[in-house]
Amino acid sequence: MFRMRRRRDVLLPIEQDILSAALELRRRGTREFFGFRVARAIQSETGARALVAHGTLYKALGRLEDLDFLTSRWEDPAAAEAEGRPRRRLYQVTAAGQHALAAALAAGVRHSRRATGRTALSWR
Amino acid sequence: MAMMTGLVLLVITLCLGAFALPLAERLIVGFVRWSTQGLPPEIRDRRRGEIQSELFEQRRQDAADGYKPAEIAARILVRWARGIPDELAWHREVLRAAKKARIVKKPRAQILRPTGIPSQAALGIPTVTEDPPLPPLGWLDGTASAAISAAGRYDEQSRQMRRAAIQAQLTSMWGNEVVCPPPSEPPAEEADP
Repeated sequence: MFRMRRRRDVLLPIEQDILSAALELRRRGTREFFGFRVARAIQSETGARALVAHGTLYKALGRLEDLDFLTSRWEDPAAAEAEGRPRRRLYQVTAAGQHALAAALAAGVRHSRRATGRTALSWR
Repeated sequence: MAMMTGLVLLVITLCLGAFALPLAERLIVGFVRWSTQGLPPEIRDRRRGEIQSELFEQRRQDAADGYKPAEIAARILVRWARGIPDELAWHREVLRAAKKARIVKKPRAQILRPTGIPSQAALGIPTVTEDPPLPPLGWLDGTASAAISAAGRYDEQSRQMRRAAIQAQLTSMWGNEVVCPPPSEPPAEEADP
């Protein structure tokens, strides 16, 4: 079966949404975010009815980290324990991630949610 | 298809009522445990930890938003079901990368694997007859080379010492990174007298 190979310098709409939501969170004072937090932010930003699926979200987060657009670390176990919840994996947008998003937006292509998964943005 | 699955899950969870939430969480945790089997430990543990956290956060948020447990279960299950194709694709990608790494690791495995010796020992054939060819060691520093020289004759014990020395040297040089001997070195020759 024919399968398209992803280019490393291409941002998928979900990845663009993640970076965009993460930067919006940062503007509001949240420097680091975790999966569920960014899923909620994406939902409110895009007006989607449902949250991004687990598999889709974490696959995209992993790819963004591979591209050095995000960094991540485990939360301090003591903080999680104090609140009686599992540890969170905390992500942060890097300067490269910020530039990548800015370049993608500057390219003037903004995909609607309907296009998610079918087309991609390139910043070169 | 996804919509149909979502509808079925919705009906089932609403029928199960309050029991649906722990069952749904158990199902997802079980799926993630299954789907991360065979992956490198750090990737496996990370994904499992992230899903645990994700389930907790969603349950807490949905409860705060006023959803009933059965509704929360339905929301969690539908969300999980929509991501299954991506989850499986991610699994395939990680496995493919791991396989590639194994291929690169092969030269080291060839150097370090003792062939012939166990079968000889099983048959009672003496293993010390002549010095087997040495693996290429020019790319190791003096520590390992000295340890190997000290091993003297290459009987089973000294082979083990040599293997341990090389292993220690490689680990100290590259940690768990994939190791490949430089192209100038010839491939390892296996001694199988």
